[in-house]
Amino acid sequence: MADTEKTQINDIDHSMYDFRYEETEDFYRIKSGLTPEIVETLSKEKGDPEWMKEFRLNSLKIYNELKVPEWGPSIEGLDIENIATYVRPNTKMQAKWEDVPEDIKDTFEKLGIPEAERTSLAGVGAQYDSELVYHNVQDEVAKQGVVYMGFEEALKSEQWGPMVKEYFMTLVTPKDHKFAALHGAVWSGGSFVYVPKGVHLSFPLQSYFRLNAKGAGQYEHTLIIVDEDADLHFIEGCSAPKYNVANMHAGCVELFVKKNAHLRYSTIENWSKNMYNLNTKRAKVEEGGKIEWVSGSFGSHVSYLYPESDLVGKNAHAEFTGITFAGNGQNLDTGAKMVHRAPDTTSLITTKSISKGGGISTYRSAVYIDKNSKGAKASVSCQSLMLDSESRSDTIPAMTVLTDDADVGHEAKIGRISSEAIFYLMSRGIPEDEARSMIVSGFANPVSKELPLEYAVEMNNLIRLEMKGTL
Amino acid sequence: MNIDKKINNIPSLTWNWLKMNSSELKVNSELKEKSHFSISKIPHGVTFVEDAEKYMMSIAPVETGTGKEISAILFDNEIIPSALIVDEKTKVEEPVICDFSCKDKHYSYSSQIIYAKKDSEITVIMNFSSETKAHGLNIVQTKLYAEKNAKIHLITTQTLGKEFIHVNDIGTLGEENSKIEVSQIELGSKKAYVGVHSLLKEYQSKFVSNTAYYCRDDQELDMNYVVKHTGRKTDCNMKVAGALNGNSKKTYRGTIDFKNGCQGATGDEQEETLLLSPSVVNNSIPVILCDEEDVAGEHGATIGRMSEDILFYMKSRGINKESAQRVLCQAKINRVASKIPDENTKKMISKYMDEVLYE
Repeated sequence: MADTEKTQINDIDHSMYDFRYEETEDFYRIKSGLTPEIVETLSKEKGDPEWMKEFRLNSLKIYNELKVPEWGPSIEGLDIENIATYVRPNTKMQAKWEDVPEDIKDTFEKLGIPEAERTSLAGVGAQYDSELVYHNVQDEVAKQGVVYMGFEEALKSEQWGPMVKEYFMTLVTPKDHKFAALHGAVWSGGSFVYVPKGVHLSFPLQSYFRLNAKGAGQYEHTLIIVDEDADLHFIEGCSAPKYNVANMHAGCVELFVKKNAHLRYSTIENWSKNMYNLNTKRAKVEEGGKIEWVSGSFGSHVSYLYPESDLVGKNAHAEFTGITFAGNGQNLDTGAKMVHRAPDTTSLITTKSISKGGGISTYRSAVYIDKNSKGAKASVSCQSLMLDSESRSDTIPAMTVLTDDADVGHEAKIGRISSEAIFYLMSRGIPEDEARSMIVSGFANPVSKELPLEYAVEMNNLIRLEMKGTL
Repeated sequence: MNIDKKINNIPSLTWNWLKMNSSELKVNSELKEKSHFSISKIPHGVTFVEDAEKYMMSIAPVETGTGKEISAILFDNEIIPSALIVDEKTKVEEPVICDFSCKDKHYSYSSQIIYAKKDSEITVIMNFSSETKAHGLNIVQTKLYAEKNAKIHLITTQTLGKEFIHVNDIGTLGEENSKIEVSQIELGSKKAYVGVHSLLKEYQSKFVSNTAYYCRDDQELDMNYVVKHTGRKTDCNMKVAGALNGNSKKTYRGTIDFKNGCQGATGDEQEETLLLSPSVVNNSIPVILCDEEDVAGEHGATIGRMSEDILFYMKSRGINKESAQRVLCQAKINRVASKIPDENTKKMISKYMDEVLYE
C-alpha cells in the first residue's frame, strides 16, 4: 500500500520569505524617529518639488495632532522613535534586470518576480526598502500609451508631474487618520499608472514591495488612474523577513476609476510577524465604472486594512473578495468599506477568515448609503472559521442607510469545522486530519479562486494555506 | 435637571465616523415631579417587595444594557428597587401587569427586580404610556434573575407622548437550564433608548428577545443588545424588526459575545428594517465576538423598502401601496404583540397602531 501523505492545518509558512541580506555600508539610512528635521532631510534626499516638501511638513503637523485609534488591535509595541522612515538601498532604479545589484536581484529571484514577468505580466515594479530598484513595462503596452513608472519619477516628470499633483492624496487625505498623515509626511517610492481612454490591458501589471531593513518603515505610494472605458488588472505583493524588532508599513493606494472603466486590484500581503501593517487603500469609481478588490492577508503581527470604494457615479460597482488567515502571534483586523454616493450603485463584499494557534482575526466593515444613492444595492457575506479554542474571531459589520430606496443584505456565520462533515469524510476512508484540511481548503476556495494565477510562486504557497505537513 | 451621559455603549468599538459606538442621553428641562407606576393583582406564589434593597446584593452580577451611567443616575437619586419574587415551583399563569402612566411635565425613575426561584415561571408586562402630547422623562431599570429551570418572560410596550424621552434598561442572568425572554414593542416617545444585557452563565441557559418598532416623524430609537455566553450549551436568539417613516432614525447594536469556555453555545440575531420615507436614517451593527471554537453564531440583516414582488402581489389583490405599507407595518408589530398574554394590552397596541398609521 502506498504511503498516505498525512496532512494537518499549519500556520502559514513564512520561512520562504525570511531570507535576508544585511544592509551594507553603501545603504543610506535616515536616523530613527519623526521630527520636522527628519522630514526635511528626507524631502531633500528625494529632491522633492517645493510643494511636496510643504505637503510633507503639513502632514507631519496633522500626524502630531491626531490620536491613535481607540478601536482595533493594540499598537503599543510600535514606537515611531525606533523606526527609520527612510532606507535607500545601494542602487538607483534600473530598467534592466541585469543592472540590479546581486543581493537585491537574488531576493526578488527567490520570490519569483522575474519569472512571473517573463511569463504573464505586462509590467513589473520592484521596491526594496524605501526605493524602487526596478521598473519595466513591455514595449507593446507602452505603445498603447500606458504609463507605468516609479511614483517619484512621475512626480518629477514634466508630462506627468501635474497629474500627480492634481491627484496625490486627494482621495486619502492626511486628515483621514494618524497613519495617513504619517504617510503624507514620509512617503517614499511606489508606482504611478495611467491607462489611457479605451485601452484594455490583457496582462496584469505588478508591483512587489520588499522591506528588508530591520527596524524600518515602508511608505510607498501607489496612484493608478484608469481612464474612461479602459481596463486594468494590477497586482500588488508585499513581504519582509522576520526580525525581533517592530517594522512598519504605512503605504497608501489611491485608485481613480473613470467612466465605464474597470480595475481589478489584487493583493497578497505576507509581511513577517514583526510587521505593523497600517495600510490605507481607496478607490473612487465614476459612472458605470467597476472596481474589484481581491485581497489575501496572511502576514504581519498587526494589520489594519480596509480598502474603501467610493461609488460617486451612477451605476458604479464595487466588489471586495478577501481572505485572512491569522496564526500564532497575529492580530489581523481586516475588511472593507463601501460608500455609495450616487444612484443605482451596487456593492458586494465576500470575506472568509480563519483563526488558528492563538491568532486573532477581526472582520470589520462599513456599508454607507447616502441620500443620493437611490436604487443602491449592497450585499455583505462574511464567514469565519475557528480552528482551536486559543484563537479568536470577531465580526464587526456596520451599515448606514440614509434613503428608503435601497436594499442592503448582510449575513455572517462563525463556527468551527462541523463534526458531521469530518465524520462523513472519515466514513469514506479519509483520515481525520486530512478531512479537516480538505474542509478548510473548501472553505477558502470561493475566495482563493479569485486570486490571480499569474502570481505563481508566492500565491501557490499562500492560497492553499500551506496545509500539508507530517503529523 | 441636567443629564449628559454616554449610554448604549457597544462592547467592541469601531470607526467613530459611523457614530454607532455609543449614544448621548441629554436632558435639560425643568421637570421636577416624580410619577409612579401601578401594579395589577399579585398572583398566588408571587411576592411584591416595595423596598427590595436586601435583594440588591443577590442581583449585583446582573449588568444592564444601557450601561453603568444609568445605574449611577438611579444611585444618585437614591432609587431603591422594588421586586417581584416568584416562589419555587410556582408557575404563574396570569401575567403581572405594571402600568407606568407617565404624566405630562413629569419625570420618573424606577428600578425593578424580577426574581424567579427554581422551577418557577412568570410573565410580567410593563406598559409605558402617556397622553399623546405629553413631554417628560422616564428612566426604568429592570433586572431579571432566573434560578435553575426557571422561566421569565418580560414584555414591555412603549406608547409615550411625542415629547417624552424614555430609557428602558434591562439586565438578565440565568442559571442552569433557565429561559429568559424579553419582548418589546417600541412605538412612542421622541427619543427611546433600549438597552438589554444578558449573561448566560450556566449550562443550557437560554435568552430570547423579540423587538418590534414603528418610528415616524422625528422619532429616534436607539438600541443596544448584548448577550454574553459563558456557560456551556447556552443559546440566544434575538430578532428585531420594524419600520421607519418620516424623518425618524433608528440605531440597532446587537452583540453576541462567545466567551472562552462556552462550548456548544449557539447564537443567532436577525434584523429586518422596512424603510418608508426618503428622509429616514438607519444604522445597524450586528456583532459577533468569538473566543471559543466550539460554537455556532449567525447574524443576518435586511434593510430596504417594500419589495416589488410584495407590492405586485398586494396590488394584484386590490391593495394600493399605502395600504400595503400599513399592512406590513402592522404585521411587524403583530409578530410580537401576538405573544402578549393580555387582551387589554393587545387591544391598546392595536388601537395605537391604527391611530398612528392613519394619522
